[in-house]
Amino acid sequence: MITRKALPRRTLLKGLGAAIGLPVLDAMAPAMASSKLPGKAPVRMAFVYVPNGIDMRNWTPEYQGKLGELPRILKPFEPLKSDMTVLSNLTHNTGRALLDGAGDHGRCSGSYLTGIQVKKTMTDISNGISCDQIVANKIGAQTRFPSLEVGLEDARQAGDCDSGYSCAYTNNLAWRSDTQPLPPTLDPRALFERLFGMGAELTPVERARQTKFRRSILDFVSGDTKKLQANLGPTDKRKLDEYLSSIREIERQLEKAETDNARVDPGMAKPYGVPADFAEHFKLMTEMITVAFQADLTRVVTFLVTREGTSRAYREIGISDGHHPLTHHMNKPELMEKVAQINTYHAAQVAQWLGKLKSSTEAGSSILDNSMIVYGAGLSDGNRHTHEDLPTAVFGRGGGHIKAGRRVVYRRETPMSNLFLTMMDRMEVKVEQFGDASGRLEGLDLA
Amino acid sequence: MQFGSGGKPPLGILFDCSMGERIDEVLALCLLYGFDGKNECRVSSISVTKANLKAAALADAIGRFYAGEVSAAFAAFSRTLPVGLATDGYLAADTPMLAVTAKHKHSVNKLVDTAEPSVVLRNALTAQQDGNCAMVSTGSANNLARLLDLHASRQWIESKPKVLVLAIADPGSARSTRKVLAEWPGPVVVIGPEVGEAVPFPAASIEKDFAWSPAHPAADAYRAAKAMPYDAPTTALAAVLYAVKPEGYFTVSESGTASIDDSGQLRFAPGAGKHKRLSVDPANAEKIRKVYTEMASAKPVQRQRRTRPPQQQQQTPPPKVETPKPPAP
Repeated sequence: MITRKALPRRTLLKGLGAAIGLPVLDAMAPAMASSKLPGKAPVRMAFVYVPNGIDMRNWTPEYQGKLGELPRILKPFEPLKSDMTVLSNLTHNTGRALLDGAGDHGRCSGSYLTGIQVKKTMTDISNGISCDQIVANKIGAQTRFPSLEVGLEDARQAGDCDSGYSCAYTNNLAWRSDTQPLPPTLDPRALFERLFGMGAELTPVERARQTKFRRSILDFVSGDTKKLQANLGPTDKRKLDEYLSSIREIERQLEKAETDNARVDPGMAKPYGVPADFAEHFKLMTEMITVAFQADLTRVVTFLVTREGTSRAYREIGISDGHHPLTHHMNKPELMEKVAQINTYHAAQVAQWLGKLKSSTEAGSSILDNSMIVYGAGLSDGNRHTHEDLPTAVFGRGGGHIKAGRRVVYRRETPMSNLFLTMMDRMEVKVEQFGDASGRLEGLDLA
Repeated sequence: MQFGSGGKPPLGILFDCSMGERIDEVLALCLLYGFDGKNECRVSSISVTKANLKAAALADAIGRFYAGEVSAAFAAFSRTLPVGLATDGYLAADTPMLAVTAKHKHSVNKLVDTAEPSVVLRNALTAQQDGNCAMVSTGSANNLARLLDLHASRQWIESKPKVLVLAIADPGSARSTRKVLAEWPGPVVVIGPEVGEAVPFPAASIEKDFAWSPAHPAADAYRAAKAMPYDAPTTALAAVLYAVKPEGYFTVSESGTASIDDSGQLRFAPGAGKHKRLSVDPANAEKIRKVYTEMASAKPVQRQRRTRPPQQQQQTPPPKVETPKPPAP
């Protein structure tokens, strides 16, 4: 299975109930050179969504062109400035009321990646296929998972989450079809088992056995690991060690969360493996996304940080008010300050993750270079529920296509769908029309 | 835009013009805001076919005059409507009336301050109830032609406007006009220049009716356009008045087919077709002129915002998530 000549890109370290993909290794170069795209690392796309809008006064740079001094909320991205493209004036008309009355939160998240006006209903939901799933349908067969859907909060799929809009709209970003959302995985343990197990979560009995013996997933693949190591050069050995160590670290964090949860509050209303601390939860999930990108387990990720309209408090940073009520600040400075703090806190978590992607190298570049990671929201001003000039930043260069390190201002009302149509192009998925797109987004490319 | 439980909102008007070419278009926009102020219509979108930033700036300045600068309450809640500005074709030259943009506040300083007109028109259509809006075109038909070609717009063009009022004052872009006349799926009412010439706008009204404002953008534009005093044709005003008040002012022909001949002139052939042509009965000229002068010079109305008031979001119970029990030791 493992030869000295060329290590296949899809090599797995297998063991009982475990299958671990590998990062790009030098030993794979001959195999990659003969692939369809010689010497090219895959391009990934991800969408990281935060709810309730963003304080635009502290988000938008006051200048166009090359990024200089960053506004407060973007400050955490300072080390990533050269990898960031801030886009202004993108609009989701389909998030607006359009005769459907109240429910901006339900609409804006439901239509965010589809560009379709969702049906106002709690029962017979109707949306469109999201751009991530269009891509996943086309290229998903090249990876173990066509796409990953990840979130940190609330996965209810039914009921009223905003003025008559089904929770399916607020709690999912990815839509496989008009009527089929793909709920995000919230539990780190479930994501871990999906990524490194045989593709499915363990049964309770299997999980209990594994817990009882406290065995690492790495133990189950140690045989394959030793065989592989024997055939690798020193650089690849070090890279493999670092990669497997990162998986072990994820396991440790998972175990810690599970132990803490069992000790602190066995009855807490969240999945067993979810850390109580927001930042830890965020870190754990994004580390697994990083590994999934490293091992090319998937190239498409949607990450619903928290659900649209959430009233989650952020006691981690001393804010006990709910996020959504705070955004209806009616221009009171003390409330606006708290919103800015939450927005900055979110950005800091994202920046930490993107920093890891930047330091993960492959084929002479970084994973971030080979990615397009959209960070943004479906509302701009959460106080007024506005759907124009949505806060949008794209990180990475999409495999060398995007000229990053700039702020690009588009004409007012430019459809957000234009960005997604353009990103699909970069993923080499050609789609003629998408959502309410009026064309491709110009000015993103390298000159 | 949301309305209360009072039923249908006033008719939405999507106004597409070549702002800066003819003074009647400036007055027509004021007439529109005048009707809007009396809740007889809603200004739902503004777009400009003249590829000149100052043309969009003038439209924006007039919008601000009525909505932004006067009504602080309105301005606090909303930016003015995005102005769609055509960028295709030649860069249109400045005209004397566009110079007034230096004097009046506006927010159009760069191209990114404007919007793609076909997107503005489509988005505005999506927000209208079926049959509860009218489209008024007083410049070239370029923007409408582009709208017809825009992805995901046909369904809205077919269902939303009850009529397209096409004022053809000058031989403009015959190609676009022909396309619109041939492809527009709904009723079209065409207005030739003779309608505007039949009821000229009196220069005296500028000096008298607009005098309440020391700096009315329309009055300033009127004075800048040509040496005063002069009476101006009113084709664009006729288009707005007919769209808002189809009964009682103009004579509408039987159905037929409108076309643009080789010299760019409007022709109309009665018979089968979905077009109609507007004309003026001289007996109604004074009545029409009175509406023009009174409503175009009407003071902006400060009123309650028509969007919904802040509402408490429906409270939902905390999520019910199954809590897996720790495995038995």
